[in-house]
Amino acid sequence: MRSADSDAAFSEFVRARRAHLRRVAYAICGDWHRADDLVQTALVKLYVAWPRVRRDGREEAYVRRIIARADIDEHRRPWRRESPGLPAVDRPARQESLLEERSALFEAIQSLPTMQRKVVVLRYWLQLSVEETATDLGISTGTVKSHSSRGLTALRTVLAPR
Amino acid sequence: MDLHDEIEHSLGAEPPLVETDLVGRGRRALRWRRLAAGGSVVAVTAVALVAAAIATHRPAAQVAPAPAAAGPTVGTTNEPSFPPAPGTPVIRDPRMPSDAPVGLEPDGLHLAPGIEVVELWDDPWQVRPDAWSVALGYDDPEGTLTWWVGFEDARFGSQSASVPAANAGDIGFRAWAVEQKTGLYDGPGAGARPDPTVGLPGATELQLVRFDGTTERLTPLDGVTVLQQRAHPDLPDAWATADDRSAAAEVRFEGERYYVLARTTPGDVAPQYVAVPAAPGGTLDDFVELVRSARR
Repeated sequence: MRSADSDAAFSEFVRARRAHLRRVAYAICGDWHRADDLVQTALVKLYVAWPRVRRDGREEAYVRRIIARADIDEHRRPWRRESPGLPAVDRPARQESLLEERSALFEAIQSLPTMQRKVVVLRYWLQLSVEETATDLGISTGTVKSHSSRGLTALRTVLAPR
Repeated sequence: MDLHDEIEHSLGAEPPLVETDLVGRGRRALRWRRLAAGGSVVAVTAVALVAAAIATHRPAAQVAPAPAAAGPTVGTTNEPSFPPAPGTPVIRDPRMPSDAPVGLEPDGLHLAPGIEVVELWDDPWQVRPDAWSVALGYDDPEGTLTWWVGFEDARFGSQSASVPAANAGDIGFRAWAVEQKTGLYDGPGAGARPDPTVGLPGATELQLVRFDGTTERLTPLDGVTVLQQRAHPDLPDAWATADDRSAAAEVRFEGERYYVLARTTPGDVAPQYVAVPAAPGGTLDDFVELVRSARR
């Protein structure tokens, strides 16, 4: 069992960063329920690795990397995902109004091939460097640059003129 | 407004966050890891009991399930507990919620009352000794046949997927169970695979196609046209071994031609896809030949 101090520090990190990490997951996968699953799984992994990761001061990068490397292309497998053994909770019903708020840009990002989408989110939303993005995704910097270029080209039609 | 702000704005409002006991889940995952490391010896008593059921694929209900209790029936033995030895402990667990009536725990497969197993496949993903997977078909109290597959990994926790068998299309139970591994299992080897673009000038991990189920046929993603393809091209082992599923194709995307390579190795987290812009006048056969001669 971890010490109370360690658990408290973990809980504080979750309190402070969960909402942001959830938005990262949503930006990558395009589904709030799936985003919740991704973040939950990543945070449980973080708990397991907490002493080592916290000592290195890279808690958020650790979770972000798990989220970024997850296979999130739900279009390919329309199966229901679940988390067995979890306490039963009532999830809020999907709110159609939220879907309506999704912009053309968001839809365009979601329509990108998976790795392009991840690169665009990490590079241009989270503003990670090419090297950081490559590390998070486990790909080469050249591949990051290629995906960045292609992703931006694909998004150009919906981006505001600048 | 810069791109960062535009993307931030594009996400829109978010639904309320449901609080979950992450510390509790984390402690449980940590306990599993320690069990896997041999630090504890808690195991279920039902292992041998239910192994017979798996061997014959008889419904678990016919093999004297553990008596109903307030919680899972767990005892102690001197056997290592995780991953369980071949033969899946099945535990009737009244605590399983009705909307998630099946779950893998370190001590076995937990089933809600009223769930009747009609088919069970132990470790379909062959992830022992690092982890443990189980696929099963079950009838719920309403008589709906559902396919379910899940895994437990002592280090990374668990995930599962399920589908009403009637909604699974023309794919069979076993093929469906195997297919779910991609995307669900991110255990050993995740992120550690070699960069498949090394040795191919201009290559990127741009995914333009995907494998069609468990075949070696490639299906184009949206906006992509497959012009021609070759299943299982004869490539050096550094690219694809005889045991891998592999394919090469010539495709068109955004007005440009690309050659793509796809491969997936048994036990892989996910298939790997490589795209290379096609040289003017080049052919798919030229590309396959280039791959054969590339140094890695």
